[in-house]
Amino acid sequence: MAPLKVRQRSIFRPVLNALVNMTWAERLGLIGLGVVTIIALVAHWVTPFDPQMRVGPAYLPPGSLHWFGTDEIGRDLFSRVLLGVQVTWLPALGLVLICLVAGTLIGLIPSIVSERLDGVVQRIVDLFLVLPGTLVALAVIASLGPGLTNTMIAIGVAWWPWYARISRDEFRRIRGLPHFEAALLAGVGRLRLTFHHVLPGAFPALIVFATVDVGNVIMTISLLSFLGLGQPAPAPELGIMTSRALDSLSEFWWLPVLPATAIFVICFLSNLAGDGLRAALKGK
Amino acid sequence: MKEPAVSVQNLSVSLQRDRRINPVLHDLSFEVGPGKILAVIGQSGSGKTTLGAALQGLLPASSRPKVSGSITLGDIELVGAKSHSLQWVRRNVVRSISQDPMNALNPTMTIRAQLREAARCDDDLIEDWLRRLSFSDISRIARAFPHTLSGGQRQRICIAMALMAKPKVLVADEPTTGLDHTLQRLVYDLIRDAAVTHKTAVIFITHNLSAATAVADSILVLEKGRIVEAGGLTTVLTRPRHAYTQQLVTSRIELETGVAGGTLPHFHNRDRDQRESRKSAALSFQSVSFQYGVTPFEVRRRGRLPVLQSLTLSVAEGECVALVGSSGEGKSTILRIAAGLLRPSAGSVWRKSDSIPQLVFQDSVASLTPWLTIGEQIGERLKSLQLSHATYRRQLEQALEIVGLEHKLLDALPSQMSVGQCQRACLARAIIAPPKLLLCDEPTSSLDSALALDMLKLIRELRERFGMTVLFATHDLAVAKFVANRVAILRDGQITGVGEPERIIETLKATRPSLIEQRAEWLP
Amino acid sequence: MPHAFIHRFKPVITAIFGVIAVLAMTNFSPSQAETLRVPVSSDIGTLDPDNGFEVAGLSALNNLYEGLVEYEPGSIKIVGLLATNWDVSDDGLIYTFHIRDGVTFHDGTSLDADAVVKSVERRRTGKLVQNYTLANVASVKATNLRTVEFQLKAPQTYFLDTLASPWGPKVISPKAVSQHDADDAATGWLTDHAAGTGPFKLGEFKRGERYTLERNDAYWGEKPYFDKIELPVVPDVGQQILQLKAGEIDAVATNYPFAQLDNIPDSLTITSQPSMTQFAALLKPGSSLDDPAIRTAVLTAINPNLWVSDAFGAYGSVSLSVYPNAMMSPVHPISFPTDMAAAKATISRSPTNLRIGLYSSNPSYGRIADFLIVQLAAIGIKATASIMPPGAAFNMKGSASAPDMLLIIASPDAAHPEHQVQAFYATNAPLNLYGRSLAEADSIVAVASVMTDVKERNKLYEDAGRKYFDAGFAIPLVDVEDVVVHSKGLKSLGLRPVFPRGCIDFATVTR
Repeated sequence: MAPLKVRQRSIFRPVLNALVNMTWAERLGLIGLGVVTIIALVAHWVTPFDPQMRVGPAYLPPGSLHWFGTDEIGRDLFSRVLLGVQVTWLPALGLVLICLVAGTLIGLIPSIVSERLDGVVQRIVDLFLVLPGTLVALAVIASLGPGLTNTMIAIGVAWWPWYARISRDEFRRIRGLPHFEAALLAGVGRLRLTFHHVLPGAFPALIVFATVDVGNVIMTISLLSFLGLGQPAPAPELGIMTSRALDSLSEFWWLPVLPATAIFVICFLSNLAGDGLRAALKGK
Repeated sequence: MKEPAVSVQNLSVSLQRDRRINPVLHDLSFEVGPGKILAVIGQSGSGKTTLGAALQGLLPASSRPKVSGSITLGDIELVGAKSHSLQWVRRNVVRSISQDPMNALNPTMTIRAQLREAARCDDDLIEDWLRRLSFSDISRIARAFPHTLSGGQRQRICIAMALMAKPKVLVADEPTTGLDHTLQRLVYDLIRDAAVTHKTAVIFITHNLSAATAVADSILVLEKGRIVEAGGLTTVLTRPRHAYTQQLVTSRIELETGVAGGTLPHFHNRDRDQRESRKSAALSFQSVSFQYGVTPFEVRRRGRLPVLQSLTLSVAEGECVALVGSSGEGKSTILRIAAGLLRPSAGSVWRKSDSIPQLVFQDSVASLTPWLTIGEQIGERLKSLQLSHATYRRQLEQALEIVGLEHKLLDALPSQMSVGQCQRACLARAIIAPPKLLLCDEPTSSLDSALALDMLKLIRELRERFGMTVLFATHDLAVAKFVANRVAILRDGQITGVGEPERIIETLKATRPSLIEQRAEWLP
Repeated sequence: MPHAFIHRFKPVITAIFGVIAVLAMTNFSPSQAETLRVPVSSDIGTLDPDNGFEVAGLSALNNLYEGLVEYEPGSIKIVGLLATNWDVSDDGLIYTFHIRDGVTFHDGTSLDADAVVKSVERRRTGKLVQNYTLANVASVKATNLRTVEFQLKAPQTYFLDTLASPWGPKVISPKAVSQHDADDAATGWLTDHAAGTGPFKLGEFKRGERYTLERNDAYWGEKPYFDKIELPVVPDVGQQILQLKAGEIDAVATNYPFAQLDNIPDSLTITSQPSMTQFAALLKPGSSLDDPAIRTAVLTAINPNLWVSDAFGAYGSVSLSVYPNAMMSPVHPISFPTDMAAAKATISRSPTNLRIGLYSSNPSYGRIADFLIVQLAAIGIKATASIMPPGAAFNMKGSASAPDMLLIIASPDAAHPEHQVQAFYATNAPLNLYGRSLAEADSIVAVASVMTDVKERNKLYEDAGRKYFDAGFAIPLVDVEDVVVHSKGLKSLGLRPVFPRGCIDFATVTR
């Protein structure tokens, strides 16, 4: 007799299914993001030059020694972009993941605890949503002081409500589907109902939103850095590198263009992965 | 000789499930000329739906289909074609009416917008089509979103979407499931009309022999992925050669007459006797009204359209009452109120037992959680009993046996099963711990007549065995008569007549012949 | 029907044709008007001379209003403006100004001694933000129609500098002030209106869009060359550069990236001249920089000689003292130590991290900070820099979270050393942002401030400045020139060292 596998199935099955049944574009997105993450993790050790030191004359155009050229004070731009991927991508990824988990759980509170909480949770979420996110972030940083952790806290405070909103909307949508009603009638408990019958159905929307959102988070982190609220110099944050060198565009194009390309590639890959996941999860 | 619109040569398809390759279709060859209608009949699981998908180039990529042979639509070869050319074919050559109307419609678009997109046409044509599909409040329907419509209404919208595009080939997979007989006949007419006027070749997939007879020029019978019988309509009906075809023909007759050999008449009589002696009600509705949209704003926007109006109905313990009504009359709403899923807008509902009633949904596929296995879902009803692992497993297997499913399906996902199998799984979930009150919403509408009969027998048997009270919604008087002690006719949100099936049928002959008259047609 | 149609809509049609005609006329009428277009990087806060510390609108303000005296273009020499000449009493307490005749305000009223007194009193006695500048004035009165007498509380050798300052007192039409006084000394009205005597009148004041000045044809002095000055708001310097290259504007007044100055198109040229823009690092008391050994190491590392030409090309020079080089040439300039090995050794003994605050988001701060960080890294100091949120620099006194050093432009508001000390280094000076105090130096300044012998006076100021430096108040870094990139043909920009960089004098500039 075959071993019983009935109860060991993962609730992440929709995600796994999607990963298995992928087209090349979707794989490119996910593999690309994986590569970016690995680069970010090992950036310390693989930079060809010390990204914080003057290693050559200023404004050297891209060449065989300095692949991306040197910046306005003679630092190796390639090393700085590599490290920039680290200080930009890892916080963005972490932030999105934290917001994804926290926002989802908060959005599911009415489902987990009691539907009577729906109004309360929704009002709180709305309250955070109507506050302009960047201003909230500014206020939080003003009270906590600048720095990476505080920046992430600040953005997180402004960010989770979107995820809460989506997970709550998905919960409401799924609650109207026959399979939810069937499970309700089958006497399934609240927790199991939420995590087995609702959450997997909300995954596609949440994951797709998260992957598309990564770009927004990167941009917001850059904005805060530009306002002097993010990571202090000399952290080679890609957004700040781009915006500060923007006035060099006509003379020293590589200074703004190459960091901006790095941002673009990250956003593009995450959008690709998001689109792919959306197609894979919704196409079923 | 005229070029066939659809030509299938030596088509074999296998799909992968649980990393095993299952052959689904074997060496099929047939042709359909322009303007001709071919009915594909088969049991649930016979591969009809796979054939329909293959004809649209829509075999699910997740099952890694292996296709050999050839499918040509006009002069376009589908087997091995690139996905963008398949997309072009789906846009310009072939349209389908899906078995699952909810998935075919976009939940975020109004009906009008979807129709406009489907056929690239103006509003006049849309309204004309809605009228032809016998919608009464056209402007409201056009403004509505899919989720506010009933299953039958959605089905009709899908039909409109497909026919408005005037395709060269139409694949209709169980297009009339969930429609009452008047509407069914309307749809048959429309399809025939399309075939004649636009020279559309129609592949009409059904489990329902009478549907096939009503619409088709020729018939093709599938069993286990093979063609077991093919030919002109009358030939197949009058001289069925294959055993399965013969069974289909006879079981339809049996359902008609209520003659179901063996023990069934016995059940029948005893039920009626029991009903006489029983007084206590298991379920009663007192002046129940219901309408969607609770805020004044919503009421104003959608028009004041109560689904139920001051409905009073009582079901005695152990009794089976059939609710008979056309599509959109509120049958599902009554069942959902009885199950406690909806709260009535006015009036009161009383249930004797405090255990949760079980509801077998009309749309069985949607009522199964897509990402959980059948075993998990059926087993959820046993959770509170805290059974040992072995007992739990045995109970599951028994439940599957009762409804006639294989044990291995415990590990299957709903998407890997046919509609009929899903229907049975739902029933298994309902009866694994027998409820006091069983609510059935058109449980046989997507089953072929042989399976439908089995299902009805099963419900009757289970009712007897566990002493369940049953409220059974159907649009089919024959089914109602077969399964129920009493029949309640539902019209415009009210009960217009309750009584024994025979008496009700007599009355209806005078007042609503439409519900009755197709009976004669079923018989070959 | 067509006739009825035309009749019915006749007014509309007439109006349309009228508009077309007007447009055609404005388009085709030959325009001889000369317009100078100079972008401003940010909005003008207020044009009220007594109620703001305007930078963006300073050129405009000084072309709308005039004071009694002014600095001559290109120098720190004080010349008369609305005062033709002046006398100082022997005890240095009474200043008598003789007011120019034949001057009218933009609103048509004519200038007299009474108007000067009223304007001075408005600044001196009101609650306006510039009132501290005249704190030493005991009284001001008109002794006749054309004479104004200032009585000081104590001798003030730099009083004329105070009056000549870009932010110094201006003469405003008393009629306009009394007409628009809504219990606010007319500050509301004067924010976006002007009633001065200057060579230009205010045309448009469109916040966030542009400001325009129009030539004052009733001006008493030499008429400006340009009929109209347009000041579009273009916050991004990159955009300013593109507009300049496209010929849409005539000059980028400031912040043109230094690295690109060597390579400007042929149609453009550069006007540069020394300014009092001194970049300095103010140091936090209680930080590791209090330790003279560490400070020496830091000085070795950030020695501006090592990076000033990389950062500012030919337009920067190493600061010689805590006073701008254009204000005073010290006899014994500050010298930066050069022994890098010793500096490294010091830091390896006592590892140090530094947090650098940047006073604002001005790109120059960021660039200098980048150099400082790289230089400090070379001796093993890990330094970070972040821009201070607006206003945060003024809350650093006693704050533990304040950065270890603050990069700031330490420029005085007038060309006298006293102004430098009283702005940045004296106890309780408004820009003594860390709240430091050195009584020894303050008392030397007190002696110097009443001396009239310039050479002796400067020696004392230099001495006091050296003491502030030695006590670790600040590290002066570089003096950066005023660099204006403009279309060829613009001449006589009228830049003045005391003004913030990029203040073109619209009255002197010609094409």
